[in-house]
Amino acid sequence: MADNVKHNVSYHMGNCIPQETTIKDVRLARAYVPFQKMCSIFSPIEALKRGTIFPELYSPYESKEKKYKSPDKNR
Amino acid sequence: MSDDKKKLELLEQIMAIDFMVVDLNLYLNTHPMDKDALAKYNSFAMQSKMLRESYERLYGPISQGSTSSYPWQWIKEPWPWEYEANPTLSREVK
Repeated sequence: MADNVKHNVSYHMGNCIPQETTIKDVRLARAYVPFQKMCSIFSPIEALKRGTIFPELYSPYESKEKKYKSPDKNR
Repeated sequence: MSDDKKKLELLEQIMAIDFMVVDLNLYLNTHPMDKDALAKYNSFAMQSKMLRESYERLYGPISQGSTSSYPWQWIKEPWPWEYEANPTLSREVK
């Protein structure tokens, strides 16, 4: 989590926001994906480890296993 | 540094650079007018080509269609799916 915060700082540097900030002509009750805009990218090794070259797209699955494990043990 | 270690390091570099090429390629498919992304793509594609050439000069073909020195190097062990043939990326991403 601290890492994501760090990246937020780095990719907002120089006022570069990695996506469109206003969306026009969108219909109600329809899903919309904001258009990406490349700002900074990871170094090759970091990108390979994370599975994306874009800091703004790096969002690992955070396991909540610990929460579920404790009731299991009581069974 | 042992030859095996050098070989794995070079392979890891190629894998990492090739991943940059793949992801920038995908981005460019939807952003064909992004000059910065295109420049980065071209730079990484060139780097990939050069790294592959130096790897193949030392250790033999990395993909079909590359030349081989004598004897035929394609069948040299370890095979690509074997543990010894793969770099272990440290997983301390947090």
